[in-house]
Amino acid sequence: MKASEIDISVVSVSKTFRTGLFTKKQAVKDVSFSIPRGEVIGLLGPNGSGKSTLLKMILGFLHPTEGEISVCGEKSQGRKARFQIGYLPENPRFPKFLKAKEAMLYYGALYQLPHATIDKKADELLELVGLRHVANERIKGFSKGMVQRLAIAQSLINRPRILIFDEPMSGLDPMGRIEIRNLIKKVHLELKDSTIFFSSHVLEDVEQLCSYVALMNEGILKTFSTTEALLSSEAQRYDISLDKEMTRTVDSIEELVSDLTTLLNEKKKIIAVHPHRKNLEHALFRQNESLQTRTQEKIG
Amino acid sequence: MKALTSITMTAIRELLYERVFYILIAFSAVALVLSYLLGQLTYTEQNKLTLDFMLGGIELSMVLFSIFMGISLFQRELVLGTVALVLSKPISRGTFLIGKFLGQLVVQMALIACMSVLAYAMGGAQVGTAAVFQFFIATALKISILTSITYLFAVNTGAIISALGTFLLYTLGHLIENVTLSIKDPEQIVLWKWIQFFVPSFESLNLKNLVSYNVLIPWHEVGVLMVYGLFMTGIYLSLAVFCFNERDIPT
Repeated sequence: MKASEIDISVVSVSKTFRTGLFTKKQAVKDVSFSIPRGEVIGLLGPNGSGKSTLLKMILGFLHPTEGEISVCGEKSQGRKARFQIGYLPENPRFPKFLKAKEAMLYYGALYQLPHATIDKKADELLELVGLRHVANERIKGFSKGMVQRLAIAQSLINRPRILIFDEPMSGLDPMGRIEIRNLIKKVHLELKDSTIFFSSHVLEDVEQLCSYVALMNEGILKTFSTTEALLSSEAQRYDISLDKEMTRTVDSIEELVSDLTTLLNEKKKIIAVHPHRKNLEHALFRQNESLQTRTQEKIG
Repeated sequence: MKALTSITMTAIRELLYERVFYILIAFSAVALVLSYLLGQLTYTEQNKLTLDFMLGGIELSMVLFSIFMGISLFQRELVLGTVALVLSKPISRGTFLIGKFLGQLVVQMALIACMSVLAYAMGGAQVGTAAVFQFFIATALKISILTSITYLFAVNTGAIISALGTFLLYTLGHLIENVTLSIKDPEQIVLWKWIQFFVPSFESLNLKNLVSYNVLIPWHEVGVLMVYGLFMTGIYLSLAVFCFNERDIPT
C-alpha cells in the first residue's frame, strides 16, 4: 500500500494512565496498524478494551505514552491533522442554549470556513440527517437520537476525509440504531473516498457496515483484517436435526454428505439441515478461543 | 481569529444563559445596596464612606464572579464532554482557553463599568469621573489577573481546589507586600521576595481608598499598572495554556 493511500497510521502506540499515586494502568499496548483510504473500518472490543483510548489518541485528546500516530501524513497532535477529520463522540453533548442551526454554524466557524458556505452546508446537512424541521429549536429539548443525528451532521460540516465515530449506536433503541446505521451508509455513499473509522461492541453493526475489522481486547490489537477474510476463515458448519435425537453438528460439506448418507442408510428420520450463517460473532469467538488456547499453552 | 471570535461569542452567550450568573448578579446588587445603606449609617464623611463601601462591594462581587464563573465556564466543558466537539476541530487548545477567558472578561468589564457608574451616581457625586475611571481600570486589571489564575487552577485541578487556590493567591496578593516589609530575618526576606515575584501584587491595584478621597494617581502610573496587569495576566494565561496543552483530555 502506498503511503498516500493510507489515511491513519498507528505505529507501536501504547498508553499508560496513572490510576493512583503509585499505580498505573496500561490501556493500550503496542498497537500498530494502517487504515487505507475510502474504507469503513470497525473497531471492536468489549468495554474497557482500549477502543476509545485509541480513538482519542488519533484525535489528539490523549498523548500516546509511546509510539506515533499520523493522520493524512500529519502528526495527530497537530492542528493540521484535524482539518481532515470529522468526529462523533460516544455521548455527544452540545451547549444547551444553542439551537441546531446555531450549533452547526458554531462548529463550522471553528474550521475557518466562510459564513455563507457554512450556512448553506448547515442547511444541507440538517436535511440529510432529518433535522431541518427543528433547525431553529434549542438542542436542550432534543431526544438522544436527534442529538446523535445532529452530532453526525456537525461531523460532516467540513466534508472530512476521515470520519471517526465512537460508539455511534450506543444507548439508542433498535429503531434508532437502524436509523443511524442507514445514515452512516448514506454518508459513506455521499462522501466518496472518505474513510470511516468507528468503534462498537455490537458485531451486527460492524458486519453490516465495515470492509475492515480491528479487534481489541485488554489494550491489545488482536486482529486487523478485511471482514471478508475474517468471515471466510470461519468454517462452514451445519446442524442436522434428527427424529427423537439431539441435533448433530458437522464441520464441513464433505462431513455433511457422509453423515447424511450414513443416516439414510440407517433409515433414520432427518427433520432438517441448517447451515450456520457465516458471521462475525462466530469468527471472533473462534479467534478469541484460539488466542486463549495459545495463551494457556504458553503458560502450561 | 474567526475561531477565537466564535468561541468568545459563544462563551458570552453561555455566561448569560447560566443560572449562577444571575445569582452572582443578584449578589452584586445586594452588596451594592448594603454598601450604600451601611455608608448612610455613618455620621462623618458619609459620602466618602458610602462610595468606599460600594467600591468594596463591586470588588468583592467581581472576585467571586471571576472565580465561580471561570471554573464553571471552563471546567464544565471538560466534565460534560462538550469540549470534545470543539477540540476535534482544527483549533489549538490555547485558542479554546483564551476564547473562554476573553468571553468572561468582556462580560466582567461590562459589569464593572455598569456598577462603577451606579456607585458614582449613588455615592460619588463629590468624586471626579477621572477617579472613578481610574478605579475601573485598576479593578478591570485585577479581575483580569484573577481570572487568568482561576483558569490556571481550573486546567490542573478540580473545582473546589481551584476556588480555594485562586482565593488564597488573591489574599496573598493583597498581604504579601506588608508581610515582606514586616519580616526582619534576612533569609526569610529573600524567600518572601521570591514569593512576591510569583504572586501578583493585587494591593498595588487597590485604588479604592484613593478614589473615595478623590485622589488621582498620575496617569503615567496608571500606564505602569496597565503594563503590569497585562503582563501578569499574560504570564498566568500562558502557563494555563501550557498546562492545558500538556494534559490529557479524557472527555
